[in-house]
Amino acid sequence: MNLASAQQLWSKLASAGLTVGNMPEAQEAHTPWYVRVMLGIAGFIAAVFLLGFVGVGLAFVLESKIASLAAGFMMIAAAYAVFRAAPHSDFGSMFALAVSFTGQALVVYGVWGMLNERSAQPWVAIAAIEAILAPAMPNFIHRVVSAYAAVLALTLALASSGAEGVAGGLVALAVAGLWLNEMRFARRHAVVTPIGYGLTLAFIQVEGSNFTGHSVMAILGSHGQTWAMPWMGEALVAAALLFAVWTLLRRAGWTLPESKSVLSLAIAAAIGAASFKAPGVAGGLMIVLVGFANGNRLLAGLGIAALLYYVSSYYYLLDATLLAKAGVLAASGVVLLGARWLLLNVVMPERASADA
Amino acid sequence: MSIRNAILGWSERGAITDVRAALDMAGVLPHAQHWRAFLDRLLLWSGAVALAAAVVFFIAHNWNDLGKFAKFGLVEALVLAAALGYWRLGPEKAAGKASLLVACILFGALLALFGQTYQTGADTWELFANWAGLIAAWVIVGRFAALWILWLAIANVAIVLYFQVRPGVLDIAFAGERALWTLFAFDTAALAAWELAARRIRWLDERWAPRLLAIAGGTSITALALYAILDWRDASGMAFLLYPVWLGCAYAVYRRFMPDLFVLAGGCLSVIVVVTTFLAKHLLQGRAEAAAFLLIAMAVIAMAAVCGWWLKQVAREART
Repeated sequence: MNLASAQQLWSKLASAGLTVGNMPEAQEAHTPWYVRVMLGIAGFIAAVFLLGFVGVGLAFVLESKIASLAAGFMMIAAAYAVFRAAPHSDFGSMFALAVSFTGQALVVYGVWGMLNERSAQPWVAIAAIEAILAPAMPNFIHRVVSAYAAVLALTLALASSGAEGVAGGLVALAVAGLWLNEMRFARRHAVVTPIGYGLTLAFIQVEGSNFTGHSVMAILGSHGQTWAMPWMGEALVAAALLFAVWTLLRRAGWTLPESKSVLSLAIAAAIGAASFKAPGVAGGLMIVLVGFANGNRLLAGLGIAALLYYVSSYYYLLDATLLAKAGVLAASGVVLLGARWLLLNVVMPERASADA
Repeated sequence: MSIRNAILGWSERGAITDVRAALDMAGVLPHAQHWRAFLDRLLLWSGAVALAAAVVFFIAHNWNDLGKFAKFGLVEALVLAAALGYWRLGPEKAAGKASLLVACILFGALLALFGQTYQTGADTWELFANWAGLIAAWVIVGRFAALWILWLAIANVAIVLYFQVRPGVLDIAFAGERALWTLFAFDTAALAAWELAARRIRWLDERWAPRLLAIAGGTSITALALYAILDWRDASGMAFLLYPVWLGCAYAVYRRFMPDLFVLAGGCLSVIVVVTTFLAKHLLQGRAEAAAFLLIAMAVIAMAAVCGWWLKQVAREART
């Protein structure tokens, strides 16, 4: 959107009484997501070499866990100072990003060495640190990465407590809750939006880990007692989908006794049920729905990419034979196409939706 | 900047009283007819892909309880039904396009079933090459971008598998390089053809598809450049010549003729990776390793900062 169309939009909103004062001057150009991805990857590459510098040139830091922790926190604090002091400096931001990533690696190393690595303690500590960094660090890329890291650490903490199964479901509820309330947090858009993307990316990964057929902790060499079964997590994901659909229906003014509302929720429940055997369907669809509802094409695109990823990963799921999976997919396909028929002919027939 | 981000940015600075109403007024939030059209497409495509995947999984299972004629009959009937569905619904309707996509995927399942049943001794790459060749006519008449991308993906898989089976008469070490060169040539030619055709053909004018091809071609030439740097004795060295040419062409096309920040950002990332690998290869072998690590880290930060600044300038130019 160029300046002229921005002014035109402002005038339109002003005439409807939706604005306060004059149109704010553009502070900084909006950075497209793919430029941010490029900068984030470059930040990681730089952090790897900075870590190499610490490992080779300042080896004494790595010899002591406390020194690693102290050096790590100092680097994070320094990065924070640079972000604050030079928020519009491209070099400053990149430098701070790389320094902070390196600092976080040192902190993780220190935490891992100081706490009982067979328990949930180090993961809880790392999740807490990242959860504090996500809102605190004034940088979009940093917030995405910290939110993502916090969720992964929390998942591992739950896994080592025997609750791996519910991790994906809990994150699904957080993702749905955050995006559905995005407008309420509009004044904190710069903080909430990147955290939302970080949570969503982590959710896609955690939900996708169901396809490996191995628990995360088993991969890490731990074989603790598991009390939370994967179906519990999928039940929570299905609940998140139902919550999203219900919220969107209420927003559109559809109330529960109405048959079209009941039918819409029944369709969502059927898709949620399919997700118990084909993990990811409900979660991916939920992301697509909230993305479209918010007018956020990037989020909707992420949901579609997640669905494609889940379908292709489903082939490798070890829990079921290919014949059983073919049956689940065929049933899911019939449910989805049946839902489409109901939508077009019963829930939202053409004339009714054109009138709305 | 999108309308959505502009309004959210204003709201953050306290200039908007009701964000939802503002987004609604600006046409960012969907209304009933938008929802209807969107859910129609979403459920149609996800249902079609699920059904096509179900058949592929079923064939891959190689179920012995079902005879070969029953299996052939089933898959052929489904291919025929999907093709008839396309014929009945027509090329303009989304349901017609979905039918054709399903027919193309099921045709691959049919070829796989043939190879599985008769053990023809054919290599796997031949399955994909035959698949691409036999559905080519459908892809041409289909007139829709996603089907072309599916066809190009099948062709890419055929190329990769071909070089796995036939590593070359002279030297096995060249197999990876030859495969990458072939993929680079194929995907770059497809990209050029797409961009040229999209100027005349409206249904090809979707940016996601050429961007995917640019990622595919760019990844191949970047990998070739890395191969040339890391293993320059075995590599042919052609990448030293063609990598800068590719970068120059990408810059000229996507900066001057048809600005596309996505491809430019990908080019920047490629340069950062290649230069970092070059520095690491030559600086990390000396005595002053710590200094080399620090120098390379600073070089990466500097390159990324310059790229970020430049891309923002290009984005700003596009807005004014």
